Amino acid sequence: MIKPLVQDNIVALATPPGIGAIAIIRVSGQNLVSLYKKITKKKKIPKHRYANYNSIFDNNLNKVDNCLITYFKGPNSFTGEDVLEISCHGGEFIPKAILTLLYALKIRQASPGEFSYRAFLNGKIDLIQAEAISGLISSKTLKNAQVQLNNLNGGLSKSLTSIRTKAITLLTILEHELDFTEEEISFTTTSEIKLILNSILHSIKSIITSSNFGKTINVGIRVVLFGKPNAGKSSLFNRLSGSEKAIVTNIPGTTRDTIETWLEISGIPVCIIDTAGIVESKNEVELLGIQKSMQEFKGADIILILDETNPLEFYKQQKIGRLNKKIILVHTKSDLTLSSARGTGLINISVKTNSGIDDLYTELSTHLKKNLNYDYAKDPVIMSERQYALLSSTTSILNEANNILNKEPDLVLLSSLLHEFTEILEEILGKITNEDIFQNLFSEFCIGK
Amino acid sequence: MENKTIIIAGGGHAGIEAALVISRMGFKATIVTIDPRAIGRMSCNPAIGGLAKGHLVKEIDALGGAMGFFADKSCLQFKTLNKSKGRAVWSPRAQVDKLQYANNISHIIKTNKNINIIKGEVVDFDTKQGAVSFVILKSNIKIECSALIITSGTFLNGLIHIGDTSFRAGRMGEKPSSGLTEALNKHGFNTGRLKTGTPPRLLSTSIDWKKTKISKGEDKPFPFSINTTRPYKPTNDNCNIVNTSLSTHDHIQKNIHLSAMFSGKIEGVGPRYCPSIEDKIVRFSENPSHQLFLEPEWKNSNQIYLNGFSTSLPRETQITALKTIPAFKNIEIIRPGYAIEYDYLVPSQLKRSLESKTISGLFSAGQINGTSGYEEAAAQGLMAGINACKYIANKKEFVLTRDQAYIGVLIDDLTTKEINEPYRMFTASAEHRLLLRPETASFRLSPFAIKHKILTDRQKSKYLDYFNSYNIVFESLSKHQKKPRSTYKEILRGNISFIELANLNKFKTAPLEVLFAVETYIKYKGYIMREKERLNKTKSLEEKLIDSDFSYNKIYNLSNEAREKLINIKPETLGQASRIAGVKPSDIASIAIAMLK
Repeated sequence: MIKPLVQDNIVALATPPGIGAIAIIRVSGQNLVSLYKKITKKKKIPKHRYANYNSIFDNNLNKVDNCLITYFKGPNSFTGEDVLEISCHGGEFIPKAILTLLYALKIRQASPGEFSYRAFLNGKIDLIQAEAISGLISSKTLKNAQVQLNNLNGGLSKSLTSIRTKAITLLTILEHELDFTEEEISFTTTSEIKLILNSILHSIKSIITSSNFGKTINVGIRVVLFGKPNAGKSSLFNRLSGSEKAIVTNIPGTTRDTIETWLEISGIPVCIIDTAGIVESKNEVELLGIQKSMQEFKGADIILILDETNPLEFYKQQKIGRLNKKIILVHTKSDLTLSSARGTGLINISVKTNSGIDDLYTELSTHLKKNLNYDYAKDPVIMSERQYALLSSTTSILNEANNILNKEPDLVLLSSLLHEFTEILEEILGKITNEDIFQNLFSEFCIGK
Repeated sequence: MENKTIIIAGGGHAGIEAALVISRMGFKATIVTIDPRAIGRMSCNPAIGGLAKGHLVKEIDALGGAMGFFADKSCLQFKTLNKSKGRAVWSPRAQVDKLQYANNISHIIKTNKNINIIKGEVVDFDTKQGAVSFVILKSNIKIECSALIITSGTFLNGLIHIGDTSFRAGRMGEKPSSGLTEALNKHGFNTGRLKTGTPPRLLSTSIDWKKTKISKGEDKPFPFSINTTRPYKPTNDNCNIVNTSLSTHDHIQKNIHLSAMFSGKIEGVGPRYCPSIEDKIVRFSENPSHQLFLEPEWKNSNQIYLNGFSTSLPRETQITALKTIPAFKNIEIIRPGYAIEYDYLVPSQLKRSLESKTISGLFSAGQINGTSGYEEAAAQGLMAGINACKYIANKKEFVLTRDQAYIGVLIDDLTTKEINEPYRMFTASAEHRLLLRPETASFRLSPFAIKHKILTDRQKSKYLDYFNSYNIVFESLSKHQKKPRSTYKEILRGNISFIELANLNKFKTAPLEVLFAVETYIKYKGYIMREKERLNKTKSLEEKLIDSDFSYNKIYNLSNEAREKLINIKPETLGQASRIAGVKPSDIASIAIAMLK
């Protein structure tokens, strides 16, 4: 929880703790020039946005370290306040010594996300941008990082702002007409209003579509291995993960718990999940394992059906089709079967001979590319659940507005809906004050951001 | 309580409502007016109500005010405007007999035992320990008072302009008031200058009536007031319409340099929404014709108010321009149109109770606060009157919020926004129009009025009758609402309206207005709920009170502009702060967080 105190100066280690060549300590607050002078014993005011080579001294004038200190004069800084970025030598001791020195000067250790929070409060970034910072830091793939960076640069914010402007223009027209008598001005025709409404709805829908892409590159996709006990799931799992995480034996039902591993395929994080084989069992532990597998299937994006004789036949026997997931049929242990027995529409693999593994990668990659064909450099992408939930709720409002236009056009109802719509957009951008959201959102950040 | 007199400086629409509500609340009011014969005079158009203003009149009535009742009584024609735009903005408007209206009002004021009238002019006041204690009249007489409500209208340093002549006046034929502005400045208040205008009055017999279009009123309108006797059948006199033509526009365009407003003679800023004919021609030059309404000023009046032709052109130019219109070929004018400039008190210096933020017991209401219109004035007068009584009784002020009443919107706007032109009520100014429907005015406000003891017994019982009969109808309909072909469902589908409801046996005795209100509620219910949800999202922040000594200097991440305005205006709530121009959402977030401590 971020403290509501907003006046004091804060400090945090901005780089990960531990052994490293350099570490960066970030300070934000008021009048940091005097702090700079105090710790460097310099008399000159540091130049805005310049790195200064200085030594830092403690109270007893003992030199603590040689550092590069970059001074940003507020409001032209990340937080909108004065900021000092101290690049010092890394490791366990030096950064700690400098931090201790700063704490002694009544500079408080920052709470998680407090730098971004201050940037937000000072109007330097909106909520979407704040979310993008958090996302950028935790990005695991290039694609994810690029999209987050795009949003940090205002990609999504700009799109939403321009939709909001459109809605407000429409509102202005409507409200203007409310206050003139019929004799004074002519009513904007229903078809004109409809045209604007539909263009808004179209833009919203296309942004919502991006959420699928956003979610995929953000949380990745889940590929679950499915098959009878001893169908070779764990062997494939180990092969894909390049480890011996799963225990492989000839005894059916060896895997009781689900095991996960992360890969990157075509720039997308992919989680491979090994499950307990589905079988009728009375063994309690095995039953629990099977239950857990069922849960995994529900949450899966892709299910690999593994079978050593006939994966298609096996698939048909199961009720897994109802889950409506992408299915890939995999014929395992293909080294043991005759090539004539190999069917079409499935991938034959042998972990033992290493054959077919590349085919499986290609199949996964083709699928990912086909479904994630999204021009994220050009089109905005929704990257958080919060953004998605709020934005999805607007489509019903716009549809309702269309309904009203199709009946007797009631301008008051129409403008009420449009107000509701613009307020949701403002909430996404963080233009509406809601303490809970702010607090929760920023507390998910790590310290120093 | 005997000697606790509230002084009201001015006997216009604000002063009247203030005096009457003070009397209803059991206190004593003294109206000080330059001309006691002018009490309740309608100085401009002979009409009450109209877009958004009709809503105000209904609300004034729900709080026991006089305007609606007397407008109903002296009505010459009743009309509902904006019928094509949704029920929440249907706006009742009454063409009113000005003489009858003023006579009736003046009668009840003069016969009211709690109201005293003094002929004179308030030019200054004294304070004791930061509170108003005496008013000083021009005649140097000092009168002790426990509160002062200034309702001086357009009279403060009033200056009339017709072409290049200008002269000091409060309105045509009446003396202005001077000295009070200077006194207010001396007491530390900021004042400014505004301008408004009025059209010429035409001699009825000089108009070729055959060349005008007839505009009819409604046969059986719903009156403004809950206290007006039903069935309500006002006189339904015709009004008439003429159109300006390009040659009218040419003529005005050619002489525009003679207009006081265009020659740069007037420093006050005029209203955009009630533009002069000069303004209309310059700003809407693509429009080949403007409608002008011929409105009788009283029953069978020889004097016709030319609505839509407000002007400050010289008298002769007004006449020659009018003569380009066929019906006005031989026109004679009784009084030319004119513009008037006057002083106003910058209203952000007031609390939402309309009391000054710096001097206790000093209230102001009406045009002095920068508004235009009878209805806006009356609404403020009423609220100032109530709060002056609350002040004397040492009770908590009575404030209406933006989601409770247009009156709330009006006063909140006045106390937070910068006034650049006379402020007129608009439905667009309200965020929650769906909750502020005119037919719900009494449901929204009369319960407050009862709680604060503002209604007479008769008013109270009228309201309770209305309320009960609404409930009976509503409950009878909702009982069967789940059945697929219930009347309730049919109303929802738009197959049954209040007219058909009235034909049903069980609703035969229910007033038509009640059926209308029930039908509207059923039809709108879904949207009303949505609107309430939207309101609730922001309500807690909106109504968070900010201490009057809250230190904005402590929050360093406020922008300089925001800080300066916040310190200057000292908003009473976080919602008010958010409506100040230049205060950004991030500023509000910072204040909210600083207030958490």
